[in-house]
Amino acid sequence: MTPPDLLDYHRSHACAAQWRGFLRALGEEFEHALPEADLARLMARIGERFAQAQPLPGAASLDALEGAANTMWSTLDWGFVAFEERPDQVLIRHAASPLSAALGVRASWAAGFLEGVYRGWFRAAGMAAGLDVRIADAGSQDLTTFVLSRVS
Amino acid sequence: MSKHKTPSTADHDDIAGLFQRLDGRGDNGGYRDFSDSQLQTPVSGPSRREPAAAPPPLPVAAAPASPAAPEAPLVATPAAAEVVEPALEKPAVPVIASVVRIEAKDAAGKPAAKTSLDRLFQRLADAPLPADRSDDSPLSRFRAS
Repeated sequence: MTPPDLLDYHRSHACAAQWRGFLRALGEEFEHALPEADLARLMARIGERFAQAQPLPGAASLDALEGAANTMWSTLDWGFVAFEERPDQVLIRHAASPLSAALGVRASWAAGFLEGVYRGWFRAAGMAAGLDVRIADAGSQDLTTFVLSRVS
Repeated sequence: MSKHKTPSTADHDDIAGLFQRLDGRGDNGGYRDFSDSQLQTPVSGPSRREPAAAPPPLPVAAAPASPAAPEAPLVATPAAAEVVEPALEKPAVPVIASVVRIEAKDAAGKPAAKTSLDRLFQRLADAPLPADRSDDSPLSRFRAS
């Protein structure tokens, strides 16, 4: 048994067995029925809906917002996030989400969900018009990077 | 409320009583004399039209100081403030002016960002557009189409 095997075991158990088979089948059907771009957009909309349903408390700083997001993710057992402030952008690195466990490793479009969530949370926090959150790097199944920056 | 009372004691019954309690020597006449006569004259006349004539320089301070008991300054000041309406305008004006000054300082230039998060958003919004990213993610491919 290798370390990756152990990790795969833990990843697979990030999604309750009760839902694992159902969600895998759902994801596969999505992939057959919709183009990848549409799937990504659909997941982003689902993420924005999630952000509206799970609002974060008011935050005055980026650190406070990161803490509020991590409190939420920890409560839901959805991994954790780190915000990194740069001169012209904010990097958002989300690790250990159960998306790949739920929808399959190949479902890179599933990261659209987190993009929509962060977009919704940052908008609620007062994100200025012309800024947006977009996926920057699908990375691995354990880490996805988004970027908040000017888009128009 | 006090309009039903006699004109001589109408507006000053409680204050006169107060002075009586504090200083029972019967100075009511002097106090009434001040409030009925001097309340109207010094304020409307010289304070606005003749600043150099140097009558009462401080309307509020001049009012209670002359007749009534000096040992009750805390009582005399609000009593005069209640009766002498224009006298309150003098000290009120600088206070308002200072508030306006503070607001003007905050509102100088762009609308001020209130929190560090607001300032961050504003800074990012003012930043130049980032160069095109060359990642091959599904979302970027979707947006390019």
